Amino acid sequence: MREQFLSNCEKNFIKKIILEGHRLDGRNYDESRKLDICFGSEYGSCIVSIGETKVLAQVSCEVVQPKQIRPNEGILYINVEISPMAAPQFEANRQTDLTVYLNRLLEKCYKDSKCIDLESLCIVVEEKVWSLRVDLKILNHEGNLIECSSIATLVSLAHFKRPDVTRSGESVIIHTLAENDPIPTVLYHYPVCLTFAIFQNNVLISDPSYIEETVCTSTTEDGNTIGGLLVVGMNQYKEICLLNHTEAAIHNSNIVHRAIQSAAERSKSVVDLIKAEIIRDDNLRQKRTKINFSDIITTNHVQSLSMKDLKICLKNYNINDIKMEEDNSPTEILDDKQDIKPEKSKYDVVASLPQTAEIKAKEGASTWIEISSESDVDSS
Amino acid sequence: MKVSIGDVVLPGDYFDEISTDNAKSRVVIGPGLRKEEDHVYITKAGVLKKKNPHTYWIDSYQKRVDIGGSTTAALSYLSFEGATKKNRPEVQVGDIIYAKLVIASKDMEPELVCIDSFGHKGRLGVLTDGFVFKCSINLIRKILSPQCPLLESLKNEWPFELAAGMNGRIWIKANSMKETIALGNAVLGAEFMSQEEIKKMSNNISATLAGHVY
Amino acid sequence: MVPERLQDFKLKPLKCELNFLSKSDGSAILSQGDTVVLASVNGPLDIKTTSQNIEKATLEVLFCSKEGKPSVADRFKENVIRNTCETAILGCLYPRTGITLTIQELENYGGLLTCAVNCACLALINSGVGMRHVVAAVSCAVNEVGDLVLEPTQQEAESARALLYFVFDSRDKNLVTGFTEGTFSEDTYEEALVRCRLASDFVFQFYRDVVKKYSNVI
Repeated sequence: MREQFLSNCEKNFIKKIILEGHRLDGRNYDESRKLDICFGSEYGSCIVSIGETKVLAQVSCEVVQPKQIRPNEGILYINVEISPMAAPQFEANRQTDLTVYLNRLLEKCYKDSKCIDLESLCIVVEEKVWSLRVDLKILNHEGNLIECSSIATLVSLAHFKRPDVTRSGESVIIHTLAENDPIPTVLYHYPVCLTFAIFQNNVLISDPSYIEETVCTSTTEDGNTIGGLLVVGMNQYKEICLLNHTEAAIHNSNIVHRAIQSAAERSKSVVDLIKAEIIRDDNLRQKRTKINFSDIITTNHVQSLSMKDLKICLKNYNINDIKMEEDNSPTEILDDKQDIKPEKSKYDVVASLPQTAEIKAKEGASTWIEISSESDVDSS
Repeated sequence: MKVSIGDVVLPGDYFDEISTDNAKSRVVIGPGLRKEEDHVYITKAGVLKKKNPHTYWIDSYQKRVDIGGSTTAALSYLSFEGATKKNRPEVQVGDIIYAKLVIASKDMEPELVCIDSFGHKGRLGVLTDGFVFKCSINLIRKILSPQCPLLESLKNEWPFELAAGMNGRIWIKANSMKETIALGNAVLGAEFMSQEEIKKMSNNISATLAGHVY
Repeated sequence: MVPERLQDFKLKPLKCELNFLSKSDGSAILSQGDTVVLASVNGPLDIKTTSQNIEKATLEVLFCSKEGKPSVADRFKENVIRNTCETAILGCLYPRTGITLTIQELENYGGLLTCAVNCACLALINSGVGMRHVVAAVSCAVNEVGDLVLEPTQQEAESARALLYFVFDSRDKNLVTGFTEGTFSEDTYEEALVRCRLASDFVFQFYRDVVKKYSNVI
């Protein structure tokens, strides 16, 4: 399927509200959506979600021959896959620009920043090293894939443990997880990629949603883009590991400084959360608690969307205000129907509105209702 | 499995009541039902509903429409009020249009018009400004149903315009950006709420909008 | 041999959430015991003219394993699932369109294929695509002694002499897909078929419960 076309009125609306200081989902400029990490039963498998964006990561390892130029270093390989599951416009088994871009960014952030001790992955120099492979599957694309997949990569690498190895003379024995405790990967520092959308060179938005990202990188009538996306890779020591910018050029160095400052705060809190989650998970595993992805299936609400973030939301709106009353109200739905009397409207404009609604319900929209009125006539 | 009115049904269930009805009267089977030989089979999961005298359908959850949702639709220049070959309406690529379907068949390209059968445009046409968002088809049906208190209670709070299309898109416009967001919030929030909850929510939102949260 | 009463059967605990993904037209996450699968359905959509079919909808199935490169085993599962689901979908309602079904493995502790088929069916139910019937997959193993084990665990499956997978439709409990591994006698096959057919009722009942839960609010 083609890319979903964004209408002019959506573009203009988003542009306007952002310049007025609002965001569609009620967040502040520097506010991110809720970050959620959940682990699978194996080491190095996790699902990371930022709002509705979801990424699955799994680390696997195998023993391979090292590269000739680096005979004493292990190999790290990152592979991103975007299937039609993420959004309907993606095609199966086909590399898109987005896949390549994501792969490049993540490799820059995790390989080139040397955050992993690759030398510790060496078993026999020039002969055997561990090769770590991170498989990332995009499950749902609601914007800010870069941040979500970078956190997923980091979490899965930090969570992963490889089997223990002992050397006896020429032979190398790989122990199973039951025989010897597995060994965690050594990470020198924890870099995360954080995304900012820049609108018209002065508004800086962290964690852009899908629609904000699309509006930001779409072209205006004069052929220029409205804004650009800035990716800052930063570790918990506030060291920059990566800077990447796409679309409209920045002609204001101030905004980059602001982005870096904001990234410094967020990266610290993200890394703290990751560490806390991994420790919590480790404690649970030591108590032999079963951890499985089936834990993310929630049965307490009917459909997952009903309780989670709404796409369009006011700043102070809180769904729990309404849901608290749930216990006494929904039982007698049928009775409520009689209570509703059409009230006189304060505004002239609005008075015509329910009429439109009625017309629409009867016309073309749902033909079977229309026919049903005919059949009423027939039988009477 | 054999089912009857009001049951929760799954595809493959069958329904006998229709065939035993008086053969003379016209029976209408709506979405989610399909006649195969002597039985009426269910094709969608949901609740089987009946409207007197002989209309049956399934209330199911859906995000995409059966027709027109999958292919491009044709919109003729002549399908606007007062349009002639010389006098062309102003429609640009990327505009949102409030239109009706004239042809809706699974085998043909859907065709849209912006006039009713008398040649008047009514409320149809290009929608300017405002905001469009997608939602499930159920939500559209819900807010358009005469029993739904959402629009009734919201219209007393602040003025707005709303157009809901059966293709799962809602267009909204209010005087200010904040009011538009509040409206979108109310509409989306109503999806899984009962009538009482909807009323409470619309009060809540207007209070939030006015700036005093309780 | 007389099959036991329905109460004697035990399936792994089923747990499901519909509409797990916001971008897909229909999605479901299903766990059967420790095996977890996520499925998403998109469609009916516009597709390339070369893969369009003027008679019915084209069903594309993609199975993603959790790690490593796509393998032949994945393609095989895709085939099984596609053939099964094609019988269930009323493709003739949506000519010249495509329906994409993507299945992601999350945890594999035996019975991945059955879980994937059931999850795909739930995702199709959630998407509102017209269906001829729903399908339920049940697996069965013949252990070393020659006894039948319904819904084997991973250890049981590994040590089993044979594995049998069956998929049934909801109309007359007809066999839609049958698929076996290992050696077994004809009688064992017949008995396994009867047992699995009875057990499929649980799965259909589970589907009904899932739908019931959310049909209250729509």
